[in-house]
Amino acid sequence: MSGALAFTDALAAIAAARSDEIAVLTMSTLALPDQGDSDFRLVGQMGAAASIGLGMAIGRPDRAVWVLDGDGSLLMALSVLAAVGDAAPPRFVHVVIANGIYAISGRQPLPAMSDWEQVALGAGYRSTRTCSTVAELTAALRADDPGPRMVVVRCTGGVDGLPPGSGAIDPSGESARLRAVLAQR
Amino acid sequence: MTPVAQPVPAETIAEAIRAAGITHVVTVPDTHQQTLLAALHDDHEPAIVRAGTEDDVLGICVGLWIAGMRPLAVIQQLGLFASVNALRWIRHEALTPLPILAGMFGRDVNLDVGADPRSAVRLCPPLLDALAIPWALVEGLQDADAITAALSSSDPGPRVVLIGAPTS
Repeated sequence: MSGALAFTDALAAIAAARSDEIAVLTMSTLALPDQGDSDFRLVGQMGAAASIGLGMAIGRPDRAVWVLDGDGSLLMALSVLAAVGDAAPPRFVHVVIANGIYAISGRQPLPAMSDWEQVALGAGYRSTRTCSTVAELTAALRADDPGPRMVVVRCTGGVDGLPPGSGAIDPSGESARLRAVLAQR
Repeated sequence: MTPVAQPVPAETIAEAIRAAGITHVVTVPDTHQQTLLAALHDDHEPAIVRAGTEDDVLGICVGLWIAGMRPLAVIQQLGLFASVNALRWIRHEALTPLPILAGMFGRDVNLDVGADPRSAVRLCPPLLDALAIPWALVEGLQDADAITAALSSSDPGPRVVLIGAPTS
């Protein structure tokens, strides 16, 4: 893929652009640097990041929710785009790491998906951007575009295998921990 | 022949949903519960969230629960088959408390569920048993307590109530 960010640079830029958002991490994005107590680390349920993030965004409209998805993960649950467009939570940001491969399972290529922006807009997302530089990605994440919105990050590469420590994540503990955190703020 | 299953009034279930403090009904439309869904849409309370697949319904419910809400999934029993991996994850890994009302689409109300010729009906209870998901079958108003129990439960994991006949 030409005109694309290295995967690790993309994650670093996302981490640097964050403030107090709730973030849903899945698969390769479990390698996000500087994770905090408002993060939900999803393991064991590939494809569910956006639906879980949508539920959070509906339940807590006062908080911004970033879903840090992969293009392969999103393809497993493409119907969720319509649910996002229908519910239309204004502070929902769907970041799609578009590297065109299933990185964790051995970098196999995805079925072709050439234009995520058109898919998202057709499903009812209010705005979209595609980024291939750190500057574009930073600007997109900090933009005041109408939501729900999608930020497509054209990337090369990814992590090989689940990021270190991911296998020890307990989904029930992760859910209860974040529920308790959100009850406080 | 006297039917095995009789309709439960939609308003009875809607009242139970409101009494249990359910904040959101997340749904893929269901033939058997269309009068219930219509009643909930008319009342605007609790909020209705529409999804295209049962996988999405279950994920949205998990997110709502983490956000401090009390979601309810309203689906068709065919969706239980379609979302086995999500059900497995919620029951055995995420442990999210989640009531699910599932209409028994295609069910012959003159036959016991286990004797129904349709596999989507007959195999539904053993599917839930295989996943170790608690379930109850509502065959009429006399079983309505099972709905109340599922809606008010805070036990970890899904609790499925199979709606045996179309709601009236």
